[in-house]
Amino acid sequence: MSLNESSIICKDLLRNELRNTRVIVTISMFVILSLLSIYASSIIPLLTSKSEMSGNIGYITSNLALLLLGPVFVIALSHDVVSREIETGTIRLIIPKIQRSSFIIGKFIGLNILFSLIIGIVFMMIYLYVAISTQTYTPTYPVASWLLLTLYFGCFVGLSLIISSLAENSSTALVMSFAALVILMVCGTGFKFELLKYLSPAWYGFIGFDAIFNPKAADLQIVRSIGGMLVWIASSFGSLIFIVNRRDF
Amino acid sequence: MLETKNLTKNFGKFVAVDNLNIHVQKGDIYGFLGPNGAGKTTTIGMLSGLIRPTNGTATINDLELSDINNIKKNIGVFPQESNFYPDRSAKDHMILYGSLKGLNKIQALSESVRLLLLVGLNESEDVKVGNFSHGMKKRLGIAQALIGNPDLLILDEITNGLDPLWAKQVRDLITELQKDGITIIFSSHNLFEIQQICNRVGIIHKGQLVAEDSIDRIQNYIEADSIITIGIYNLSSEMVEWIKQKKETKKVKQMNENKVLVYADSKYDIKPDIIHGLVSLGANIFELSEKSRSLEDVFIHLTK
Repeated sequence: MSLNESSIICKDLLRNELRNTRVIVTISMFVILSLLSIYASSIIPLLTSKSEMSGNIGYITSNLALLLLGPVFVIALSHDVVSREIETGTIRLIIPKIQRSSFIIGKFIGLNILFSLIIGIVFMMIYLYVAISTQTYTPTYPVASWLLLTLYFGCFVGLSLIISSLAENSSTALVMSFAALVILMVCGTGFKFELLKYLSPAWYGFIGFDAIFNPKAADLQIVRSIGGMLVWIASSFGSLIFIVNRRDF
Repeated sequence: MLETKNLTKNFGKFVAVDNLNIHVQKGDIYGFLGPNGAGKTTTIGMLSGLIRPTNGTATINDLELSDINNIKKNIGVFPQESNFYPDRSAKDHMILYGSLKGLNKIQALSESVRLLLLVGLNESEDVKVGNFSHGMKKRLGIAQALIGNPDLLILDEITNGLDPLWAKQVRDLITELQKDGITIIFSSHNLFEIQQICNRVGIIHKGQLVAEDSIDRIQNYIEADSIITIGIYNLSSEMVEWIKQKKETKKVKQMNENKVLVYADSKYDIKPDIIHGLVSLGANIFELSEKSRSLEDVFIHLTK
């Protein structure tokens, strides 16, 4: 792997994605969704003082919204990052110039930075909203939410890139990614087989959310959440490099 | 410079390239010939790191194919079925590819200017490639392959779809690049251009190398007869009989009252003897021509 090559691929991805209408629309939808969830929770007392949750309602509802719907956005934006290049043949002018691993690492890091930025923008706006409306300036909840969701989205970036690298075209990658997402979300609920939930990043995302906002959560819950997601990201990253090094373009 | 050793690629049960052993020497323009599906693109894919070989290896610039990441630093490739980003300009592409080849931004920009001028795209450097014609994309393909001053240039079907003027300019450019010391592997269906610019040729058929030699020598790979056409105003049966009786003559065919075709052993040049003999028989000769063997004859013979 060459760091220089990966950083060029990463910067190139960011430069193009940030100019992409699809990405701008997604960021806007994230912000609108989060603000709507705050607004909805203020008119429907979803989580009141009787709740075991603590922290500003705005962070809780926007966190929940992003935990549930964020993976859909991740897949919508990243399913074709490699498959599109394979399908159109642009990858055939890139791979003869650089190491295969540099290419995929650049894409992986680029997408993670992109989503981290998107989540950052969303929580920055919520922080400003909350700060103005409640005069509360503590950044603990937005920072913790940003870190948790960056890791959570990172798991789905890995999944999406694996499928994108295996697929021959973007539509196949999209269908396969959504099928895998549904399976992982269902597994995350522990449906039928309790043990399956440990394989799903959704499970780790939700216990992380619980650890941040529920004062009665177990002490090590946040460690389990972050550890589980890091293992998920590391495994998907390793698989990704293996797949890209093995396949023909 | 480049040598493959039993290079093999299987796609499932299909053997695309079968124990291929080609030899390209430094400074060669090596013509890589073969019918559709012969394995040319797969071979080029393996040599440029796009396709992983099933078996065998290759040595490029004294580096084994397993060290492909170092090989890539000194080769320029324009593979078939490759494409550009339609929403970016030619200059943007060149800067990206230059950076990937290890150039800094200023070097990449100056290389972009130099190479786009070389392929005649300097006036379209800011035009989005999506608006480029097929020929312009091919020229940009050559420019991107040349970025980073490679020692070895691998061009797959580069003149396909170019108009005759640009095809000639590309051939001239390849000849110029060879003079600058660049070794070139040039795959093409166009036997005429291979014969024109390549000094060595490898013919691949069903994944196997069926011939490899210099252009001059490869034309002797087939034992074909010389076909001599003789036109005589006062052609007579006596003259035809005289030609038939010559020991080098295999067959004589009278086309019309003035013309005969003589099939002779290609090892001998019998034309001077025929002229001398026929003139002594009173022949008034108006035509004498011989069809020489071409690369096309060899190609058809070896791949049929």
